[in-house]
Amino acid sequence: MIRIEYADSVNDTWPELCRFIETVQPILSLEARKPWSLDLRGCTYLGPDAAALIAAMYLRGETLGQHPRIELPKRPAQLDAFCDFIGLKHLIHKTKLPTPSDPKNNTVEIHRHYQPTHIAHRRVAALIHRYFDLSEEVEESLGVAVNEVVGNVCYHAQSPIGALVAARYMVSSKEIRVSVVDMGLGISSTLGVKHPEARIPTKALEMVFQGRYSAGSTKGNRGLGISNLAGQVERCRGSLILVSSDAVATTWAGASTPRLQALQSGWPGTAVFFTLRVEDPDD
Amino acid sequence: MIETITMSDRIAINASEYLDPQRDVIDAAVRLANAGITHVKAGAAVLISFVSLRGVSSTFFNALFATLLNELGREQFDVFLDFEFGNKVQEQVAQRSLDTILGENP
Repeated sequence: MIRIEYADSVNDTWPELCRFIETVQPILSLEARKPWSLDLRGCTYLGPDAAALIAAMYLRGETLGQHPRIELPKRPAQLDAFCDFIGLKHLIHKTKLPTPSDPKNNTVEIHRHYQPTHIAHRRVAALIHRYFDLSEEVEESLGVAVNEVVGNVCYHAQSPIGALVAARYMVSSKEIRVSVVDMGLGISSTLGVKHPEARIPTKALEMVFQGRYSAGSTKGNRGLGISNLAGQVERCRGSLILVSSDAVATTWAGASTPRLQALQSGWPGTAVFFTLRVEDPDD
Repeated sequence: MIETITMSDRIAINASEYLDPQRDVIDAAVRLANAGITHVKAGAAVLISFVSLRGVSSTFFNALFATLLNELGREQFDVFLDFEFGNKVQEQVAQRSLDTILGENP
């Protein structure tokens, strides 16, 4: 039985997400039917990115018959409420889901997608509409960003848990934070079949950001998804973290190219975390 | 039931009527393309409208343009087909797909 205790904040920045992923590596590398527990009661902050990672770990554990056990934080009260709103309590402790329209709920609860769709963004758009009159073009950018990533997972990743989507709206900064996590093959593996140079994980990420390198596995696949996502993030003055296998790419508005980094212990699949400012950049 | 609206000089097809959240977007794109191809082969000009759609990914546009170009060829595509977009972001995403497909079928 592997037991890990994590008593730190996991905000939506790469250093904190990286530290969390490194800490839970013993769980991520466990074989089927090996039980584990993760104690998060000492955590002081969790964002939607961490919530999606935790949910993915839990679902993978269930899929592999590992009898996963996760203790969620109960203090401070805001963090306890966040775990409820984002759907972690529902997933792990089988509690009733809170109503999405609760005035204190600024999240979209974790939702699983197994099929590519053109409406994966609608829950996120509906959340923003509660606070802000989203312009058609920003909604388009949001839709393209979410649907490109969910489509990639569903077409290529063979993720046993599907694509998990979660989001949180930051009222003060008028920013939406979206997390899409899978436990699939990883970009390097899928792209590397057709492009051997992509078997190096950082090279694979460089290629997908550049665009037009595709796994070529479907009629609609031309390798434009991640570069389209990056284009929307740039347009909406956001930021993007993409972790896939043992590589991470980070980019932000104004960056000419993504920053690429090889990881010793990455994510067994792909995790995409992006933010968009919801004010129309053309206004 | 997918409806087409006959205009004075061309047939308009509403792309949103082909998309179903329960079905693959590639299937939808191919069905939409086939509707356009049928009208073009019958001698009609066709307007495909994306105005009532939001957030369609490159996969949809790739499959649509690839099917249209493979079946009709570049000349008929240019002469008989027109596209209407809801906003400039959507148009840019579609244009990027079209440029990529045209690069494969010069």
